[in-house]
Amino acid sequence: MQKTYKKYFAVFVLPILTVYFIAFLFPLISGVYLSFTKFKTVSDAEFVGLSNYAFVFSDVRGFLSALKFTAKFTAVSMVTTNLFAFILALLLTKGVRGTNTFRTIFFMPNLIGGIVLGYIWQIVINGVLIKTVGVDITYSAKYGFWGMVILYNWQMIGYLMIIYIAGLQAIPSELMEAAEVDGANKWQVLKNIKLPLVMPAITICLFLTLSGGFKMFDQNFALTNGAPRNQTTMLALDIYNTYYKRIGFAGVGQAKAVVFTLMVVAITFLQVKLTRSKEVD
Amino acid sequence: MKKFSILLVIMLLFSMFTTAVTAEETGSIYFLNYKPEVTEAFEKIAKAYQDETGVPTRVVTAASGTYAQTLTKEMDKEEAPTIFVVDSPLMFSQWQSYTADLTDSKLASFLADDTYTMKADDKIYGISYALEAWGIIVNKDILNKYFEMEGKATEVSSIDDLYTFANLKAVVEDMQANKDKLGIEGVFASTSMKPGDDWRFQTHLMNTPLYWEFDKDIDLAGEIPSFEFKYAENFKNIFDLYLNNSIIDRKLVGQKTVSDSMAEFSLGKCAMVQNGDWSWGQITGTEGTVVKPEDIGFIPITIGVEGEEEMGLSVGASQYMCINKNATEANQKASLEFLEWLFSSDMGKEFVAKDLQFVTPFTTMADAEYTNYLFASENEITAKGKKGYPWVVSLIPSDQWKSNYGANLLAYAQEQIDWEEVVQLAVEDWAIEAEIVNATK
Amino acid sequence: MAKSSKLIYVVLILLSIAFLFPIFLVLLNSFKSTLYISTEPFSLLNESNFVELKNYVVGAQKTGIYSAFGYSVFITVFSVAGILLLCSMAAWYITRVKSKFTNFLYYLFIISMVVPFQMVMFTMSKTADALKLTSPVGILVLYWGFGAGLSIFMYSGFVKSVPISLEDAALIDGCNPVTMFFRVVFPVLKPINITIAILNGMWIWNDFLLPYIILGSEYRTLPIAIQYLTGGYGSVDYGHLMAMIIIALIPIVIFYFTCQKYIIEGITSGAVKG
Repeated sequence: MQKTYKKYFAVFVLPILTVYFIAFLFPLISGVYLSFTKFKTVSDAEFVGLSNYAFVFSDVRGFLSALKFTAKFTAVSMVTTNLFAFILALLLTKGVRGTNTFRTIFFMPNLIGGIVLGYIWQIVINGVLIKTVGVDITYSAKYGFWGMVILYNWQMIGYLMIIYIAGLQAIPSELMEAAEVDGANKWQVLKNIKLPLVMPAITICLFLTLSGGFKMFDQNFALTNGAPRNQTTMLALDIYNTYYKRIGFAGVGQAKAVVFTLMVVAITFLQVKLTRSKEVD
Repeated sequence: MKKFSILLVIMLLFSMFTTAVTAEETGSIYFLNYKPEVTEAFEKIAKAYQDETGVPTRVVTAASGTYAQTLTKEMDKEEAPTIFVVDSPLMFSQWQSYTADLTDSKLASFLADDTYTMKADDKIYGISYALEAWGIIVNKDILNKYFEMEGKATEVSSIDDLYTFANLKAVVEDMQANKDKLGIEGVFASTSMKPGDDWRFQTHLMNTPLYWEFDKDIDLAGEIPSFEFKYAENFKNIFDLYLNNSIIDRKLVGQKTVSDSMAEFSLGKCAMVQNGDWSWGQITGTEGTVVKPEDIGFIPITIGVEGEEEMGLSVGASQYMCINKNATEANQKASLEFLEWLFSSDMGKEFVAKDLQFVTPFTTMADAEYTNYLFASENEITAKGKKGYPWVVSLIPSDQWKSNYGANLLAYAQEQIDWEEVVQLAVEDWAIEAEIVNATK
Repeated sequence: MAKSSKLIYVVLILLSIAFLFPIFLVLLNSFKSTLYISTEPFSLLNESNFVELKNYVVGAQKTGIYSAFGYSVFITVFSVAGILLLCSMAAWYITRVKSKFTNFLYYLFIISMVVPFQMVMFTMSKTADALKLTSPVGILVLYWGFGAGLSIFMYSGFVKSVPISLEDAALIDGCNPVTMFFRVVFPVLKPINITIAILNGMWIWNDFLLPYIILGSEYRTLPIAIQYLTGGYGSVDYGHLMAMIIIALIPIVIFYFTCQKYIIEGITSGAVKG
């Protein structure tokens, strides 16, 4: 069979391979190359060695500040989104009346795109801040930070909750019954049965929030756009600004993107490995 | 399913081999517009021109504060702009290799003289299309109410006395104290500091202190000079006056937009707003406007510098149209024809006067009818013998400097950083940006 | 027991209100004049701030929201259809023909799953421009290429579980591999097709940066139309913004309530496999 199939490579694989090359592979390779050059237009790229990278790691007000903010944001929102989602999943697997309605409501924000999410929350957060403190979100990076965290929670909780519910429902009921017979209290059941058995779901959810948070662009762009004074700029936005807001910095932007890519790959790989090791088969 | 998949394969092939149809014989026009406030007007004009002549006409507008970047990006494209704009001698020097010689064009023959052109070696490469003025726009009706008010704390009783900062400050503060009597919510409209809407302050308001600092030796085309911000205190004077005597608390300016400010002025909620003659349409076009057109006028921006009472508005040709030399012959020709049509045909002139509201240096526009009272106010101020401030803001090295400065001004308005820090950052950033720009020249 | 479940019920209801509140607030403000939105978003409608449907009418005109809706639908539908077709074929081939080369191809495709968009943003826009893909039709090519990683990964996982015997039987009956694929394999892929369609559909429908860079403000998709209102193009009007957000939400809500079952299933299984 394999032999007959081989002749059909051009039909089955070539079309997608071509578009994949245009849309991804070629840009990826030329992107890595351009990170070592200085250019105004792509045709006059000039090799400059590692100087773009040197700039990236000394860009205190740009890349490094964005890295710090992104790391803090991702760490905090990873904990809060997963915690709240897990609690909601526990509540919604107790067979309360209207479970489906609640699930529907909590999940809905996840379908809304980042730009729209950003503007929705801008109105809410500014409204609250003006009422209570008398300032708006551009007043302090603290407000921008928590604004982003709240937005991300609103967006992700329903999604993660669905995954946790699926995980919890997959726990065999005999196990729970056996635990009850043994006289385990609720806390013991949670710690010794539920948590270990939903570990695969936790791995997935942590992965989703980690990579989603780290790569966030739209929400950041719409909600704070870096205000105040670039203090709430995340990595993706900083790279975008470097490319498109400064003439002659495209090479630096490309170098930032390479560093960013390596970080995303390393972190997600590490995380998956770490939590996988805690899973029980 | 099968039909569907065939359709998709066709789509794939179609999209891979599709090439934009360009009308080679007639040429096509791509104008990269500089002025966001006339986006809709230009789109309307493009459509009208295309309908009338059949020449494909495209107008793309760069978001405010991003023209230089947008131009770089678009020029790198296969279908690059055929008409573009440079806003300063500096920008002209960066793009000179793209500009076509317009000396013998019909468009250049419309000019009364060559004051408003961008020249190199006695040849014209850029032609201004809009002479603009800005200052503080006032509602004369409210001002007169104040001048006639019982128990006012100042001696000032005429708009002609508002040409020094001391008088302006005294009047503004007294008006603010009596705002209820005057029926306003504050003297100045909101200081719109939302990023992207802060250009009235990070650029336009800088014109005055920059003028005084570089007064004697302004070489707009040369290297960017170093900047000390000698008149920083004066900038603070006027900026504080705006912030402290406004409709809203100074901590709330971060979400305010230019259209908010203009709407407030239009609705009679305030007496003054710093802006230029281009904002006429926004003022008179606001839903429920109460300010009467004939009550709208200008006073100059004053910042407390000796000799400023002799000065008038900031005026100048800030933007120059250029034709892209690297475009095809047909496209260059079509682009010039479009501009000639715009500034000399009856239909074009009506668009310029009514929709774009541009005061142009073209003799062909002499008989055009404007309805903008701000133009009349400009003429009155010139008639008083006041000298206009030239367009010194084109010395600012980059848009990056402007947006950083704007962000710092916002933080200052919110009382998050003190004024010394704003000044220090402005000077530091200037040095960094000037070095980058000077190196690329 | 009854008491605690009542408490849970109350908590859930309060949370639901909190979840729906932002959307309600946007709806409320979409009927207000812009001057009253940035500073008093919580005030109810009254004589001075109420502008009837003006925000909807003017905002729609300014952004061209209906043509934006058209572009969004066109791009999403044809991108997803292309991804389903091209990726299922490629994934099936890669899984069935076992060689070093196909193995290499498999990893070549799934690399794109971990590479963030910013890495290729700039060079991709240059490539797209050089190949004249900067139109609503051209951008489909980019989405097909971009969607390939995840989709081929998921299809491959699924194809592995499809019994090979059916395919062999069809081939013996004289089908060539292409007709065999569409008659035998593709129908079996239905559940994974739905999952992949939903995952990619949601991504493309909501995607902002790719069309923003490729199409600019000329062919505005819905997210670009929303952004256009605040992006420094003349006047920013919060009233128009609120109204356009509501219009952009309507199709999502309709889609959600009609296909909720598939969406939740698709997303869950997508997450588990991804």
